[in-house]
Amino acid sequence: MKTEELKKERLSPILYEIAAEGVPNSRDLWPSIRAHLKPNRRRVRLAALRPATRLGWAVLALATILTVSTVAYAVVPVVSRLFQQEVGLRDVEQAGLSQTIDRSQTIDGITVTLEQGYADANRIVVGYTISSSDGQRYDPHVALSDVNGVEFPPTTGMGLTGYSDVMGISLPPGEGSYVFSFDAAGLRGTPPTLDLHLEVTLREFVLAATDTTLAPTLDKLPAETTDPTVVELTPLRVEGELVGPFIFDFDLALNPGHVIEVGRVVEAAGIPLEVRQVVVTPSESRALLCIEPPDGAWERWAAMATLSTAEGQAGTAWSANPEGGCAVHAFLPSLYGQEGNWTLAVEELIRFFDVPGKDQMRLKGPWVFHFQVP
Amino acid sequence: MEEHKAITRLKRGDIGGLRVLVHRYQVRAVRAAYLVVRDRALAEDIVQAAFVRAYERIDQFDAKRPFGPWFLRIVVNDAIKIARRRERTVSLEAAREGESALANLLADPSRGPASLAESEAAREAIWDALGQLPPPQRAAIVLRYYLGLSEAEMADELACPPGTVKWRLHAARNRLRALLDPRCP
Repeated sequence: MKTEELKKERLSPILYEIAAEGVPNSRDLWPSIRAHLKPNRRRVRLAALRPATRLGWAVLALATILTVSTVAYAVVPVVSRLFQQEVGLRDVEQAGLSQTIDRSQTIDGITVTLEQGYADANRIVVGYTISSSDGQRYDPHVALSDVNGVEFPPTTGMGLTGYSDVMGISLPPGEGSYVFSFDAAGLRGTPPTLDLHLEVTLREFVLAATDTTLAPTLDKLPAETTDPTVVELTPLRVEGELVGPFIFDFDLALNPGHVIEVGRVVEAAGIPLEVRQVVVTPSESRALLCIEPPDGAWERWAAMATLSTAEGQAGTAWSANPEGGCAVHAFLPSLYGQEGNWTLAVEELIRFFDVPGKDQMRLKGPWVFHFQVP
Repeated sequence: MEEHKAITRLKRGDIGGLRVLVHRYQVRAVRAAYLVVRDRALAEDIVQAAFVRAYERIDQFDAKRPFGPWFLRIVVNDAIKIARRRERTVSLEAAREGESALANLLADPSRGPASLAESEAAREAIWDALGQLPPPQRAAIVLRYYLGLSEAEMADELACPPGTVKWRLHAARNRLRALLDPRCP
């Protein structure tokens, strides 16, 4: 190739061809780039709020005193108040065990702020808010895992949008606060700190297109139907654009609680029932119950059970059936901090059948277990 | 969305702004990096890392300037560094083998230079010749002939004196010419 052929008009097209051949334009790097972005803390320009004169400082001080005295209750974060709606988390919150995270991420004008979290050997809890600049409501889907790749399944969740009479909160359109609990049973060991990875994906909440003139309002009700026995319901449609994921890498100190290997078997109604393990943490207490019934393995079953100490009693909050003929029972309140003799009394075992028309089977106990908690 | 709006959003911490910039510049950036490092996966890694860095350092970016040249400068500079590190490990045998193959190809009397430039063989010849340039000279060719920057823009983007850029480009062209011309060993 001669010198003049190295001119731009000759070399450039060849370079374009080589580059296009080596790198197709169909590749989208955004998902992997997105996964590597660490959330920024909110960028707040405090300097812009700083008064420039002495008079300005005086006015600011006075305004601060007045503001703090009048809205002290209102500024308690909604997430913190949501924590107090559930007895186990209320104990955690009141004991000052929840941890402030305060990280925000904004995508397409929607900001998700991971405000606080808590972790113990039974559950990991996160509290976050969603705020959209245009007032649109979004419904969250959350997934939590740790640095070892262990995924923690969600167990319970609470959320607030709009107005709550009980909590005395009114959120503007487009804002929501949520608290989600995840099952920590998959944790490997009890490290002092958990390195966690939370992904929050939002779906735009869209109601089915309806004739708004028919929508009931306080001053205008829809006309009565001619047949009062027939009520036509238009199902709500929840669909819309997905936004996110909003990704948060953060750590939480782990409260290991007390793990008691009970390992006792009691037989009643012809069924030997074992309390294998009890885990007592500030957010809840859990018992692992296992059976080996003579008529073969029960795939789905639960127990009507109570947990009691000298100072208090707790009932079943939820139960689940992991593999191996066992059932996990969570009790609330947790009774954490109450040492000494504990009693787990199972009044009834309930077997469920995944066969249409076949009723559940209930067996009367009691199966009573006593054990010590340090 | 316009670029300056995307940057304004990004400066406010809105990741959606970065998504706009990624979709606008990713192909061009990966291709430029690919021409320097000659490995697609590595080029993608460089560009991903550059976008992440751009996100982290967007506060340092002057929004009055266009984003593309600033970002492509980061990419090309990173590509030069990585290509330098990587090519120190290439064996002498491999380099000699490449040179020999190129010489054989270009020595083919049936292929005149003009027809060569139009053919598959031309791409291969230029690809091979580019590979034998030192990374900074290769990057100079990419900036000038692929990204279409003027020498003054190159000096600005590479933060080099104009004379250095001019020399680097001159050396790159001479070397490339020598590699592509079998009569000029």
